[in-house]
Amino acid sequence: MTATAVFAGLSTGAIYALIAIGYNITLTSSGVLNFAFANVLVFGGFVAISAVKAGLPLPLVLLLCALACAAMSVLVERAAIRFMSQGSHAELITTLGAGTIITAVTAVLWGSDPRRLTLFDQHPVDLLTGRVLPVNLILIAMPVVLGLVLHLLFQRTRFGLASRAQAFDREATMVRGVDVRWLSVSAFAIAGLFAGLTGPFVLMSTSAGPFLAVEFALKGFVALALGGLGSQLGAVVAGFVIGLVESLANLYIGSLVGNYAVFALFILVLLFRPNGLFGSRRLRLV
Amino acid sequence: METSIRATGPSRRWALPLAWATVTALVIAIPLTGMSGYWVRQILLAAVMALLVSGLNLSLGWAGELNLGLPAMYAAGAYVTAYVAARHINDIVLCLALSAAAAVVVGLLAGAPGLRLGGWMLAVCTFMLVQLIPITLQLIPFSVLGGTSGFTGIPVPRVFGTVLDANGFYITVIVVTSLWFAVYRNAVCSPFGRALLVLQQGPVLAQSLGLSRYRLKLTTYAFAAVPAGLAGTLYAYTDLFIAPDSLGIGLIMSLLVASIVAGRRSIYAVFCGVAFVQFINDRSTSFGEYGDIAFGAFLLIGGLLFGGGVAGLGNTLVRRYRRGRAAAADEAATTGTPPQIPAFDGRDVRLESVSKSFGGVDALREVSFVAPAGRITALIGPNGSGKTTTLNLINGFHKPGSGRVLLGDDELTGLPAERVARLGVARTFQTPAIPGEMSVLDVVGSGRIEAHGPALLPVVLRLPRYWRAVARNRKAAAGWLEILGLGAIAAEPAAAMALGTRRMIELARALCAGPRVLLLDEVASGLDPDELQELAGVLRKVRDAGVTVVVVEHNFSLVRSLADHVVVLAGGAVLTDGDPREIAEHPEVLERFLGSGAGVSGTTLEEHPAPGGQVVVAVDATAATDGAGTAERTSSHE
Repeated sequence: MTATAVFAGLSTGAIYALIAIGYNITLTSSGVLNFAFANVLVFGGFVAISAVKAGLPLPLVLLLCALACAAMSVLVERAAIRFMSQGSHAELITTLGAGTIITAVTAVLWGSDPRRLTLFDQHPVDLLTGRVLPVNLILIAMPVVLGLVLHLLFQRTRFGLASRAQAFDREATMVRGVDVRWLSVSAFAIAGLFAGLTGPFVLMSTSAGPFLAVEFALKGFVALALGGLGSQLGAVVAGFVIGLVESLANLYIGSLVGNYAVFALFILVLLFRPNGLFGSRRLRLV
Repeated sequence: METSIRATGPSRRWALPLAWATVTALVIAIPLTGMSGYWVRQILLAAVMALLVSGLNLSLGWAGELNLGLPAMYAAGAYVTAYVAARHINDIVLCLALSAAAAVVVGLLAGAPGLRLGGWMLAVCTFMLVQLIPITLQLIPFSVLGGTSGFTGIPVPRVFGTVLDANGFYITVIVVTSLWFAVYRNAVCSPFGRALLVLQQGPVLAQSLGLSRYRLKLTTYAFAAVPAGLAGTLYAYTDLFIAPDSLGIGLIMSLLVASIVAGRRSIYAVFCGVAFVQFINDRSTSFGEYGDIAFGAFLLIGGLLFGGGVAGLGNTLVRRYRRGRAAAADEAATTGTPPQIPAFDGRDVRLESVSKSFGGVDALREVSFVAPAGRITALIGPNGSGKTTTLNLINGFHKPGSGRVLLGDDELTGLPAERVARLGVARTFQTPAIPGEMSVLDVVGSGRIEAHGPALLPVVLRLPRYWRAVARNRKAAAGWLEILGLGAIAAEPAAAMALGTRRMIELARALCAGPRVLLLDEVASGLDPDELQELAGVLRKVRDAGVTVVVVEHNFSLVRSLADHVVVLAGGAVLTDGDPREIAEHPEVLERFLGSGAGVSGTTLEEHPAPGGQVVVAVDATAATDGAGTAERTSSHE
């Protein structure tokens, strides 16, 4: 019972962590909080539905989703970020608008009902006195592995260095000859690729409808803030913690209490650690 | 002076209330024209929505915080009304009061921590609040609030025992909405609203004017919950049913779009935004999912333009019209003799072995000096020598690592900047901090907001106390504008002025506070020779009136002509101090800063010609051009 709930909590937590990681990608590299990320991720899942129906093998399905989401994400950058006046911090509203459009388009193309996606055949496996679906195990592993990969990308490569520099001081980076607009587009493209690779697994695990993106967006946001802005480690830990608290509170205190528990946890943690669990800097002021 | 007063607030005080009463009466009369029930209902819903949008504008536009929790506050109001009216006492006035209170309580639940954390946290906290609505409804027993299927059985509203018929209810809704908008308008068109505009400029300026960011934002945020609560009551009585589905993310989207279309700081244009959203919503059944696409597109495009919306457009037109008339009136306006400079109660500023380090780098080491009252003390030294850091330590932006800062006998050490400001320390910045959307007169007047601004209640009700305070503050601000020769531009938008003018505006704002101590950070850079002469004249007068003046200055010629006392900083320590003449001849200062053969830059003031005519040079000719200057400028604003 408990182990099953823990697995359930970890797999929903993994989704929150994935969303938070996605936010972090654009946040650390172009200083923009891209609210539309969750919508792109869910869009990717629905692309997979059509790709599977067309009979494509799994690697091709994932490739197609990654490319579609990257294109969509770049489109978000072009439409919602590129023409934003500097320092206006309007991205919260413009990306919210872009996300709304993406989800509405998803609903128009695939219908607004929850859809089942089967990327591969699976049977529940017994593990540590609990039962868990293989797709959820994959999902749980994803933020850990991909979070690490992205962390290395941003810490160890020239691209990462330039990205962090421009998020810290855009003008100074431009003066050094870095094409910051190209950086911004690249960051959104990477976030899109990431969404496309993970979205199908999220959809397979949840059998969600397009509008679940809103819920994901919010919980990912909570995970981001709880973990600390810009910290991929924080995003992973906070995502899992939120998923677990939600799942266990629902099990032991009563169903529906999960969201209250998360709210309380969020406020408590941030009152004592305003920068989040692993954050080193304060949130930028609007 | 006459023109400035007219331009910032109509002297015909009866005009606006009259227009307001007329419009309210006309809207009340609409159903008498035999309009169909459908349209009357649309007007009711528009009024409810306008209340909500005004709440969003207060928090997003005026307090600068994205508050997504209005549906939760609205729901609190609606359910309190439904419960009280159905189970206990059915009285619309009582319900309005209870709902407003409930909305404020629910709002503060998420707002207090969210605002404390700042930035996007309020958006997260309040959005979570909205997510909790359906869960809360399921947690509360079905018999109490009706769960997720909605609250039925709300009785027809009564006032003091009398049943309100459809027409009576319609009039109530219009009157409540109209009264709230008068309150909203009065609150934001006031020193309170201007304090909020100052806040948007950034935390640094607000603190230096003595404004408490958290308190102001929390007040505004709580105030913004009031219309949401009122709207909840009106909504519950409109349909006599509450549909929880209408209280979610969709409502937030509608409110955001309406606010963006109207302008995020709009007042009357809110109704245009609401009408627009209602039109889209009305059509959305035929749009299907395309309705969402349209909403998303409006958020996106509106967010990019993020300008004034309908209200911005209107303001631009009005300003253009007014400017034409003001120009004509200027001819007639008589400029009398500039007002006298009032007496100031200056106090000595004393630094006692103050040290400060940033991440292991010693910015200041054991700095001690006294800036006596009624004297001008100049801090000079090369870039990075700790001049601005010293100012920041005096006014509380930085806390000293060790040592003491004293104002007269009062301890300033470790006090937050807004407390120091309220004790009478005013300052200017290297880069002038002028909030947008304010006239020159208002910016200067904002120097007095904290000390002399009335509380929210007299502001909202426009009590005599408010009018007295406004008249006093305007007189003081207009007086300083005249003294500094800015009288002619009093009604112009301040942020659009040239650098030199903005410096003078900042100086006027600092003086308008009636400070004991005036801290000026490179006040002369960017001024032309005439302005420089005028500045020097004013500073001497201000000094003679008793203010303690501390200037950080690179222009040594200005320092020589102006300062009574010079403190030379080098590498974070006091190299020497003395009167300007001594400093100019001090061998080490000469060698290290004034340099022999350094190019003459900056404007020379020939007040006290240098002996031999050799040493009249700017202390640091590189300051204006090289990167170090920029670095120092940025670091001082952290």
